Amino acid sequence: MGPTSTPTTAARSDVSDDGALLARSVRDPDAFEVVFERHHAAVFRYLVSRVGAAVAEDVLADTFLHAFATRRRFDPSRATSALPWLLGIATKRMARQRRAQAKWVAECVAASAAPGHAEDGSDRSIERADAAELAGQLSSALDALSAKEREPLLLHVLGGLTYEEVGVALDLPVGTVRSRISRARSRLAGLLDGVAR
Amino acid sequence: MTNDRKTSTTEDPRLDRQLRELHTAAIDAEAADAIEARSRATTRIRLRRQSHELQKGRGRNRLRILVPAMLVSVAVSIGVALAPGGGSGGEEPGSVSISGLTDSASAAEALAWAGKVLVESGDAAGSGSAWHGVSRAYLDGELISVTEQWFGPTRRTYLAAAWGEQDVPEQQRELLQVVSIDADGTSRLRTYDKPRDADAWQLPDELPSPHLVQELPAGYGAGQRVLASAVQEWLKVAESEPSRQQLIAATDRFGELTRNQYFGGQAPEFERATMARSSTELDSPEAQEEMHEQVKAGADALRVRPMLYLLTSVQATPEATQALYDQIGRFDSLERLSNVSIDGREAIRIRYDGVDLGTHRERVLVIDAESGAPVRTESVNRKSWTAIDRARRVADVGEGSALCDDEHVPCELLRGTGPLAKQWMAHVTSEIGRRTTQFMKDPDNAFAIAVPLRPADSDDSVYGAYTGECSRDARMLSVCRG
Repeated sequence: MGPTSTPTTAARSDVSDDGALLARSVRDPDAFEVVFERHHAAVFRYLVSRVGAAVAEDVLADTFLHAFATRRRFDPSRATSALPWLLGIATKRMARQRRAQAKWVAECVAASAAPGHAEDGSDRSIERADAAELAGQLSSALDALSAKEREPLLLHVLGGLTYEEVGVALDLPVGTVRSRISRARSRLAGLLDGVAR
Repeated sequence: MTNDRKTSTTEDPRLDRQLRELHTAAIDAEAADAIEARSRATTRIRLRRQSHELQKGRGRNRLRILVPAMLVSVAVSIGVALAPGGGSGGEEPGSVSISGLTDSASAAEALAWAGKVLVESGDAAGSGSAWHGVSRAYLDGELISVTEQWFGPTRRTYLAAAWGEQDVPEQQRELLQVVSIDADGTSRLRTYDKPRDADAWQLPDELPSPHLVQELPAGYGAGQRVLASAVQEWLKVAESEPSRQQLIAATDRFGELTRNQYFGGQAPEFERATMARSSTELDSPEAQEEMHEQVKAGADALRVRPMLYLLTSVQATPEATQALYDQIGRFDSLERLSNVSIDGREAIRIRYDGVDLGTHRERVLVIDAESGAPVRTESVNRKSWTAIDRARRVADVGEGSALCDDEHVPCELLRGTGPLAKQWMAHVTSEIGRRTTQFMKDPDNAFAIAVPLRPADSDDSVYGAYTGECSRDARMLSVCRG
């Protein structure tokens, strides 16, 4: 697994023809496979960061099957890459996985306290405790956000999408995306206030 | 596109880093890579299959009614469904897909109602007919629930199954289609619709018979007839406490029926080679893809079905019959579960389009490790790949005990209790003011109904479990929180 912060670099090479590919796939369904191969890893990585690998497997299949079924709806005028569109679909597919999302974050919080989590692998219990506390606080703070705030933020931070791309993913004007992410950050900062960050 | 992250004044790199760390702390990179590889392979296969079907034109006429597009014209949809080779019969032989828009609970009611209509209209009662209804609900193109029932010649409901989410908005329940199969082999498709604002399924006042009855073209619904015959055969056997010899005879009869119906009398024997290889060999994505290619080729998929029917007839138990109906649907992939052993037997994971038992549960086909022979299907907890012990779960259905696992109230079949089940559902519904959703069946012919006690969009899954014997009033035994 690569870092989730840069999931799109490889997938975005030669992205200019995603729209053309999807348009062609309406007549030639096999063309969709190129889009799949191009973006599978990025979508999977994003899903893993949201729901864990086991659930991500299912959601990913749902995402691409739905994308295939609705490929006519892709609007190439809004984005040259299909990735934002795919992540938008994935986001909707995840909407029913709230418990899985919460469980995954809880696992991550627990893992933050586990020995060996520190970057140098040392057993520094105080740092681990701090990290676990911060993770717990952050998790709670995230949970306190509304989905309208949380999803744009996570698509941006974990999915690596620009604001415009988040707008494509969630079918929102970029101004709305910007304000929601800003509001989400402010709320997180407020909720985390007082915790050693 | 510009990169806002370079220009926005609201960026908070530290917060971003913390968010990324939070969401990746528990990632097991090695395991995730393996899952990604598997996911890539299996999803690619599924996409290719869809693409293949599209190119064959098999999906062109499929009655996949999108919400709310179907409301434009029910008649048009029905016309498509009745087109030779299209619509409800167009997916694959033996898997007649009768599409409808209804949630599972109301679908069960609708199907029961349709059965009543059939009987009262004289179409099905006492004529040796069987009928089969499938209602599938699609939401934005996604299959979200399936409900299926078989009614025998005596109108006994001997199987009902429901899968999927229940949160289908009321206005999306619109269409129910039922195929009846007469003793002479005539198949009829009946279509009922429910007005958007109606409280219940109903016939137009001026029509004494189902809203729309269409005799299906000759040869249409062969799979349905096979299934009807098979189920009727099973009933004959199962209800008479059969001897082993009777079971063997029924097995032969089933095999003959299915092979003849599916293969025009030139049926190949079931090819087990694809399932009898070693776990290691089958674990590779290439092997899985190869296996799936064989399955999706059609003939191979159909070979699986007679096997399942044979399995059912041999066992002739409710569980085995459940297994049969669990297999009705389109295979999506087959996968050997190398790390799963159920009662010392290996398992094959079967995935379908549209039959999703939930995130953490899957139905697997248990096979004999040595011979590759199928044994039965079983529910497994997908996260741990451990079998969900049905016996234990039934034992839990004791007074005052909890009845749920931590993720999902098991969805099992309700058998032999059609009208009574409906009464139960009404009783429970009136008692708690919410619609019942999922049924469970235990070997002692008692059953339970799981009821979500909170709205479907609630984050918390809270279920009430009701149980009791069929002859007694329902009583609430426990409430458990998921």
